Amino acid sequence: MMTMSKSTHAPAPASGSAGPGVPISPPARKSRRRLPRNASLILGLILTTIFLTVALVSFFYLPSNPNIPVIRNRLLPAGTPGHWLGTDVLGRDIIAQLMVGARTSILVGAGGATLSLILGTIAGLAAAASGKITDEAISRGADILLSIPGMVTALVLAATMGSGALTTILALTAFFTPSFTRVIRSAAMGVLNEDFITAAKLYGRGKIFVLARHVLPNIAGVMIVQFTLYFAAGILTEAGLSYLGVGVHRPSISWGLMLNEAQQQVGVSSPLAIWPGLAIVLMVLGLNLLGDGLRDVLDPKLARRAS
Amino acid sequence: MQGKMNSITKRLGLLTAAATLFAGALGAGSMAEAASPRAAENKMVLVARQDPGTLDFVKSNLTAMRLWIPANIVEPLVYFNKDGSVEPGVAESWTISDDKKTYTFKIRETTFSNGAPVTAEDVIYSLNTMKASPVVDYAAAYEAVTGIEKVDDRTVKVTLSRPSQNFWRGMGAISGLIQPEANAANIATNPIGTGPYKLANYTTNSTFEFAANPTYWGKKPAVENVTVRIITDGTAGLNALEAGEVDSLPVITIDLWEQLSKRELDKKFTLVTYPQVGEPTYAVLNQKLDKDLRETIARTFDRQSYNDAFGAAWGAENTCTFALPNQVWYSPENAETCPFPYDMEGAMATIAEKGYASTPLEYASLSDVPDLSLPADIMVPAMQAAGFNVTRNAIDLARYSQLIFQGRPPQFDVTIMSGDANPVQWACQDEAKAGWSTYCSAEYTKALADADVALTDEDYAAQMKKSADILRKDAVIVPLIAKKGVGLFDAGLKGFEEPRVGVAIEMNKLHW
Repeated sequence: MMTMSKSTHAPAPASGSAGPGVPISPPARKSRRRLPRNASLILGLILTTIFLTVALVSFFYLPSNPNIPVIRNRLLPAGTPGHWLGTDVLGRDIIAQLMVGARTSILVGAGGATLSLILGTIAGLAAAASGKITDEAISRGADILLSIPGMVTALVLAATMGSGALTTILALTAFFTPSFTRVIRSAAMGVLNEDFITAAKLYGRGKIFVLARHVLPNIAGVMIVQFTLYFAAGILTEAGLSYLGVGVHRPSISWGLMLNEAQQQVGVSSPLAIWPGLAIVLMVLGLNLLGDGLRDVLDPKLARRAS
Repeated sequence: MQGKMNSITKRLGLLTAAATLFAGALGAGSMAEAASPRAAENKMVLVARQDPGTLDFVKSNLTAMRLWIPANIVEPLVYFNKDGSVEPGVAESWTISDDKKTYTFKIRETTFSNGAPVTAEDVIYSLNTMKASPVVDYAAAYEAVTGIEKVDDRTVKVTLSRPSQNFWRGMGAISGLIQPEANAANIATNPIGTGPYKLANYTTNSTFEFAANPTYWGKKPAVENVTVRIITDGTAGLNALEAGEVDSLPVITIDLWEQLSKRELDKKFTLVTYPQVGEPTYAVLNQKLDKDLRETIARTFDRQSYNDAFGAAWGAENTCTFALPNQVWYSPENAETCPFPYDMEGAMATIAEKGYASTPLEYASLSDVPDLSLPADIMVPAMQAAGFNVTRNAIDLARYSQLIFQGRPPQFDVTIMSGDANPVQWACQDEAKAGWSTYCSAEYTKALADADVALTDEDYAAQMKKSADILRKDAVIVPLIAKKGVGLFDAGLKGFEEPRVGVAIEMNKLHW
């Protein structure tokens, strides 16, 4: 029953790596061929890279301190020299706030998605590879957690621990981990049923070795795609929490906090709400496009269809 | 040539006359458009931002109730005018004993709006009910009262254990409102009094409808039917005014001031400012901090920056006095009344000299109320720029309330508050029982007590000024600005006067 298509699931650091002179597997070659034609991936990559670059630059350069009020400059319109996107109600530069906001939003979104990915992968693999009792316990536990609205979890955490970036990351982790667990479990179970896994077991490999060496690399595509999607969802959730006043707060700045502060001025200066809103839309769009593009590239079924 | 010139001149004259007539017609047209359609019907529609939930003025101190029920429906025994003079209310006359311990009120021969006569029993019932009010501010007026008794069918005597300015002033406020005992069961939904209006209808979260009280003892209201529409969204309220759907927003909260200015509504409508609905904004510093440290913190507060941040110069005054401009001890910011004026260089020098940079300070601020987190956005960077080691603890309203009002010992070093201008709230007899601010000063408490027993208005004012001075010099309660009440009225709606009974808008003064 060993077919060519099955061999694509085989652990293949050699075949998967694509260094000079190293032969690459046919699917990987196809992925590489599809890469330039994948508009979603390219656009997503460009948008994500821009925001990541902005966030990185903000550590070294800011046009002005985004927390120091300069009352004489309050509510300057976009296009004002030195404040090209204008200033807020306390005269703080919008560009500087957007730059620091990118840093916080990305940190919180990526932090929540990463922690969820780690915990969800551990729980999902444990559910897939352990016996029925463990599987049932983890799966039903995930079902219960999924039935609790994420916003409620976040509000409870904020009320008990106090609001802030760390609390928001923990809230996102609590919110996303059950979903990750289900996805990883499902993907891992598919791989665990493959013949090469049976072969590995017959060869005497232990459960953890099989999961780490054979299962994980084969579900990496799913993990990466899910990560980008939850990264985007994390940014949106963070913006929602900060908008409600239970996310980050000054001196930290996030796009959601900027929206929260702008709401009082919407009738006076609409751009104050538009700029952070636009940043959120573009960043989330970029991550979603990136996720879609990566799925197209990494999903073996799509790869087969394309070939 | 001359004839041609005359012809041209005539034509120009005719053209000018036609243009003038046309412009006049346009002007008249726009004036006609601007006039409220309610003017001809002798009605007006006002806007309230909140539903009071209950109209029980004995148990509720919500501004949403206090704006409409006192003075309009239920009257106090007397009215205190802006100039300090006292006018009759339910009491048509009164005598005060020389020792200021006995007040005798002659009750007006009139009826409540339901037609029942006002009796001495109703007055005694009303005063006793207020004396037992769960609202501390209302009951506080009766602290010195030892007896309320009927002298005859139209005379009531109140005996005090000591002179009390609070009692006398309370008789012109909500503490002195007179209601019929027979209506006690309906007070929450349909309060009755002797005022110029009666409540025709009250629909929760929708409208109040007032109709002129046919049995009112004074001058009949110029506008007989008044609707108060409850519009919780402030922008929607301003839109309704601009569209001519309503005639006034008598109370416009600070979050709308900037919008009001930007939309130039202050030019299109009559803008009024009055202190009664306003409130002081002040910093509260932990009294456990060293006094020099508190004074240095106070020097980093830039009142003008804070005031400017609201974008409405007419809305607030800088002050170092815990009061509103209608209180006799009030003073705007000046060298005499500001012991710790904004002085960053002085503050930085003191911080360096005394090593305050090593003292960790916590600034508690609200995170979920944007306009209330604004002070922290200004104050914290200023304190940090001066050299203080201050961290901002931004928390939601629930946690803030718990931290500030229940935290003992104080769980904060600095916070900013807005609220009631009553200076008695800082009185403290026993340090262990100090209020939420934990401010406790025997000297301040004594000055307030001395003001209460003052026999003359001059003595009262002097004692209150003294107490205000003690408060500001202690640098625990540090006043920043006095926010005013702000209202917008249709240009045709005249006669607004500053409230006399608390914050109540006296609708009977308004006319088209």
